[in-house]
Amino acid sequence: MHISEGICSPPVLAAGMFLAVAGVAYGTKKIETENIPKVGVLSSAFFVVSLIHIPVGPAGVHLVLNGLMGLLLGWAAFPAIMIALLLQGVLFQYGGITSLGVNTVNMALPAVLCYYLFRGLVKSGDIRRIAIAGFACGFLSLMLSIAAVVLTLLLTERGFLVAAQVILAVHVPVMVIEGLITAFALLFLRKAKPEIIEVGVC
Amino acid sequence: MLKNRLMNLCAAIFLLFMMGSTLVDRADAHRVMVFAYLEGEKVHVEGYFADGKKARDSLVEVFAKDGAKVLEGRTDENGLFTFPAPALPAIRIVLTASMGHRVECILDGAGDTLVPGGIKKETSGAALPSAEGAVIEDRIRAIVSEELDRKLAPLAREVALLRERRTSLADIIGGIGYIVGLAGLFMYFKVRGKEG
Repeated sequence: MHISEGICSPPVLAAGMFLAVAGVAYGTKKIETENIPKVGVLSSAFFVVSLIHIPVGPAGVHLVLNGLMGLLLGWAAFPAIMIALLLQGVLFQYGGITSLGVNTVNMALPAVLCYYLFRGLVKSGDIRRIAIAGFACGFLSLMLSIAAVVLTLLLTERGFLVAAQVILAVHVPVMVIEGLITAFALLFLRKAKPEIIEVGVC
Repeated sequence: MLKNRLMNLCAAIFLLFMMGSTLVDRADAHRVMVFAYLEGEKVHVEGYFADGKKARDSLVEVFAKDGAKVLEGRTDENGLFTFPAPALPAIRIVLTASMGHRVECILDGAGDTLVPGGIKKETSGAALPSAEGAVIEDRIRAIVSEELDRKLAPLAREVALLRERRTSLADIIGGIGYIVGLAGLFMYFKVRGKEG
């Protein structure tokens, strides 16, 4: 998920950084004052959740929770993800500082996309719809993120012979877990703090 | 009622699972590590993901100090790649694993080349002046050096492993602290902006 330092070519890094900064600027502008704590909490969750490791696939994978972030934050997922990634880079040596932009876009863009796709279902408040939307959102956002990572690697012209289907297939179990966790988290929030999913989308 | 209880239970188990896995399994899965050590005239390179999983079939490139590529190869089933030590003072080893993970390390011969005796040192063995003496001394030197390398290789490996920085609880709590602080700062400026 986290692309390391020195993998991508400078144009890819620059494009990633440009898109990320644009997304962060737009996302930051859209944050209402009363939603700032929510952005912080989800940013922390994202920061920590990468440490939960699931032994699947060649590289070992971890949860990302970008679907949940997208649903609850909308465009604010951009600043939340970028800050968490920056701290992961500095403290855990995940990813890298130069690849921060690329990584932010790869994880935040699918999140925002899922926000537009599934917010209707979530806002309905119906328990079944929320569960379905949560699962689909977690599953899809992770799938899109992985596809974005593969695409980024292919873009660098360094002859990465990555079999995209294989990588996606290997990650299917993680997508399922991510979907289940997103669904559970949403159902829990619906019960415990319904205002978070009903009103608070930035 | 029962359904609600069930939901609560599920949520509690889920939260416990999350917290438990964060605190107990702190192994960082998504970082690749590489370490290299010398054994005799061979260099061993081992690739690991930080959770201890071996980095199999990963590309290993070896560069000289000036950036010229010396050789390349792939790690085996055990994440291991062995190559004959080049006659260079230091090499840079870059390991590229799947999904855009890449890491590098430097192996330094500490003044000498990586191959023992690559730089001929003046022999101080004045006690054995004859040509025959020099030959014997060289042989003893070679045997001792070989034996030492064999004995020290596991130690060198341990040291290389220990040198790796692992994620600590302090890092995690510190990171969360930063995020809370940044959110607070952002809130402060946002509220002030509204008032002003």
